[in-house]
Order: sequence, then C-alpha cells, then structure tokens
Amino acid sequence: MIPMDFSYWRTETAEEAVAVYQQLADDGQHPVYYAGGTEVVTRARLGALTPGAVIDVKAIPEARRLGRDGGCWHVGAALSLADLIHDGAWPLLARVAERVADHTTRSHITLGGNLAGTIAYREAALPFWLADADVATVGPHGRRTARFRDRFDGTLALDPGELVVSLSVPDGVRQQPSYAQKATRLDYVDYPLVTIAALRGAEGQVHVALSGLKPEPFRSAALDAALIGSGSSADRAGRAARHLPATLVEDLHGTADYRRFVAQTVLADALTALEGP
Amino acid sequence: MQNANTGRAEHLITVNGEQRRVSLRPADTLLYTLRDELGLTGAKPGCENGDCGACTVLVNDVPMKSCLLLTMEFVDQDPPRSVETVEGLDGAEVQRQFLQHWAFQCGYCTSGFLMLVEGLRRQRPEANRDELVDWLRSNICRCTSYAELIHAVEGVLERERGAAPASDHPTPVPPTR
Ligand SMILES: Cc1cc2nc3c(=O)[nH]c(=O)nc-3n(C[C@H](O)[C@H](O)[C@H](O)COP(=O)(O)OP(=O)(O)OC[C@H]3O[C@@H](n4cnc5c(N)ncnc54)[C@H](O)[C@@H]3O)c2cc1C
Ligand code: FES
Ligand code: FES
Repeated sequence: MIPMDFSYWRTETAEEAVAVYQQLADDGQHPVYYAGGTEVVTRARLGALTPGAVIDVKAIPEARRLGRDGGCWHVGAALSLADLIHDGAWPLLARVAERVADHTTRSHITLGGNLAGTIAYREAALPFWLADADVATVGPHGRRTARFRDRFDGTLALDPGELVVSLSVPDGVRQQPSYAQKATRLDYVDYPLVTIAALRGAEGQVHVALSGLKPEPFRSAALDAALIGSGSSADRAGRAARHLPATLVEDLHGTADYRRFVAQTVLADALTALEGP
Repeated sequence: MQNANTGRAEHLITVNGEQRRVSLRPADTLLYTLRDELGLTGAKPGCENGDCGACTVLVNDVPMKSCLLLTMEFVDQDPPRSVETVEGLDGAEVQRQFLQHWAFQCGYCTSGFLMLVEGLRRQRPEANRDELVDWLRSNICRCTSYAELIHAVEGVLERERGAAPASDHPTPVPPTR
C-alpha cells in the first residue's frame, strides 16, 4: 500500500512526457518518470520517495523500439529486461540481464529504469559501458545523442526532466567475444557480491566493468591496462586487482576483503574464458 | 495522453475476463485493488517488495507481481490488458497437479506459485528442468515445499506436452532457492 497520493500521467511521445514533466515540476509537484515501477513503487511504499506525480513512459513507441538499422542495434529504454533476453541479439547483454532479479521481476524492470534509477548496482549498464554504445535522450533542451561512456561514470548524468529514449550498439560490438558472471553469497537470486562483464575488443584487449563493489558500477582504464601483459590469468588478475576501488561495499553479503577476493577471482575467470589460462 | 488526478475516481478494469468498475487512487497498487475493491483475495501480500511472488497474477499470460504494479496501468484501456488471478483458474490442471504432489504446506504462497506455473505452461510448455527452476526462483515458499513444487510443475508440463506424468513417487531434488 502506497501511503501518499500522486497523480498519474500516461504519455505517448517523449516530447509530451518531457513537457508534462516540466509543467508539473514548475507547479512544485516533484514528478518522476515511471517505467517498470520496481523502484518507484517499492520506495514510495516506504515513504523514501514522495512524488506528487508519476509520468508513465512505457507507451512511447520509440522507447519500445527493438531492432537493427544503419549498422547499429537499437533498443528502447522502456523495454523490459525480459524483452532483451528474449530477443537475444546481444549475447553479453542477455547474459548480464538474465541474472538481474528473478524471472518474473525481469518482466517489470526496464532498461531505462535500471540505467537511470537510484537503487544500487545497475547491472544492465555494464555491457553498454564497455561497448561503443550511444544513448539517446530528450530533455528540456531538446534531443541529444551521446556516447554512453561520456555520460555514465557509474551514474547516468541526466538533466532534471531528461528522459532516456533508447540506446544503440554497433553491430560489430555485439559479435565480439564476451564474458559475464554474477557471484552472489546468500542466494542465487540476489544483489551481487560481484558481477563482471568483459568484452574482448577488436585489438584483442580485454575490457571489464564490475558491479557490486560500490553502490555504482565500476570501471578503470588502469585496471584494464593491468590485464595486458605476461603471466597467467591469475597473475594478471592479481595485478589488476590493485586498481580496484580503495573502499568497497561491506554488508551482510560480504566484507570488503571478501569482495576484493571474489573480484580478483572473477577477473581471472574472465581472462581465462576470453584468452585461455 | 491520459491522466488521473490525485484522489479517488471510478475506472474500468478487466479481470478474469470480466469488466469491473473500481474506485481507486492513482497510487493504488493492483494488489490492493484486487483484494480490497474486487474481493479477489487470492493474490497475497507478502513482502510487497517484489521478492516473494505471493502476489503474482497473469498480465496477458505473463506472470507479474501485483505489488509492483499501479492499477492505473490497467484501467480504461482499449483493448483491455487482461489480468488473471487464481480465482480465474477454477479447477485447472495446474491446481490438480499441486494437490496430487502436495506442493504446499500452509498454502500462503500457493496462489502466487499457481499463477507463475500457469504462465510457464502457457508460454514455455517445452521448458526443461533448468528453465522451470529459473521460473520458480521468482517465488518464495516459507514452508520450503520446493521439491514437491518441482514435481507438480513437471506434472503440469508433461500433461501439456501430452505425455503421461512420469511418476507419483519422484526422486528428491535440491531446493530452488
Ligand atoms: C525484487 C527486486 C530485485 C532486484 N534485483 C536487482 C538485481 O539483481 N540487480 C540490479 O541491478 N537491480 C536489481 N533490482 C533493482 C531494479 O533493477 C531497479 O528497481 C530497476 O532497475 C528500476 O527500473 P524500473 O524500470 O522498474 O524503474 P522505475 O521504478 O520505473 O524508475 C526508477 C527510476 O528511474 C527513472 N527512470 C525510469 N525510466 C527512465 C527513463 N527512460 N529515462 C529517465 N529516467 C527514467 C524513474 O524516474 C525513477 O527515478 C531489483 C529490484 C527488485 C524489486
Ligand atoms: S508481495 Fe509482491 S512479491 Fe512479495
Ligand atoms: S506452503 Fe507455506 S509458504 Fe509455501
């Protein structure tokens, strides 16, 4: 039961959603976009989020787009993780997404909500962060397309009222060798101790992005660079692990030291899978 | 564009194939509309956080957690988005298999599991053991009837595929969660 009241708006175009957002914000209504609702509903129930209005964006056709065009694969932000897994066009994304939450909840959680939300971990961001992906948005200042990695550093930098409409990934990237693993402690379905996504680039170098170490996903050029060079997968993972964040999440799933140990292990696993032992 | 202001208002919703008039606030979740407005108490409140699946219903044949949905997502739509609750099953094969395999103890989780498994039967009758276990991980049974649940699901899927259920005395299997 959600204790507070809010108004509900179902919008049909991105521009309409942004205009409604602006108007409600100007009226002091503290609107939020509403997609899968898994964060909005659960946080509103606890009183941790108190919107005066929710703007449903799931019926916006371009946010439900899915398919290839102009050498890229385009995916709408309002599609659910279940939609992306079912489509299967990008194996790395499908493998990461199929370990987020549980089978039923993946029919709720949207890609846009996972990228733009405030709940920790945002695992679906990892593949896009590694690829030369673009993110298309509509905001109060109009339409904008940018490299995902230029707008995402663990958190997606959006202006107030800016709506994520879709993402696109070059066809070649989807075929590159990739690896994903999610390590959990208490249960198979759970927030991650560590989730790794790894992509071997055209030049042969392995790039990784990790979730579970900090509330936000983590990537580091220094860590990627330390994966190159001589030695076994385990040796190189050991060297790379020195570039993990200095402070890591410490909770009932695992201590910071345990997370560091698991991160080093999954780094070695990724290298072995993509390059051999 | 459609909008509903704060406060109660009447809307039309289609549940179990029947169009019903409900009075609701835009902030009402489907779980509470079903239970308090429509008297369909099969969907149970458990965690109300998306974790337990006791509130599972079918939306256009897809299992969804009614505690995570706003009722507004379902009202005044043409064509209507179909919502099905356990009350709509009415003696279905999945219910017979749950009884036959004792796939419950206290029964609190049962209607959620029934809707989940009915969704699996409709969408993925060819599901293998790994896939059905992945679906079952969406729900929690606090009485830990997991082994019996797996046997019931296998019974449902075997029937659906036209095979005679393998055995009434199945071998033990590890729990799903
Ligand atoms: C049972 C359960 C298990 C979970 N397990 C995991 C897990 O294993 N891993 C993980 O990473 N997460 C997990 N989560 C968190 C979940 O991923 C987030 O709640 C979810 O990503 C939010 O997406 P949504 O579509 O439901 O967003 P909503 O709740 O609709 O919105 C979330 C936020 O994002 C904003 N937003 C939504 N769409 C857009 C858009 N297109 N453009 C701009 N802003 C937008 C909204 O305004 C809101 O602020 C879990 C959640 C639940 C309930
Ligand atoms: S009550 Fe909905 S998932 Fe627990
Ligand atoms: S039978 Fe008691 S919770 Fe499942």
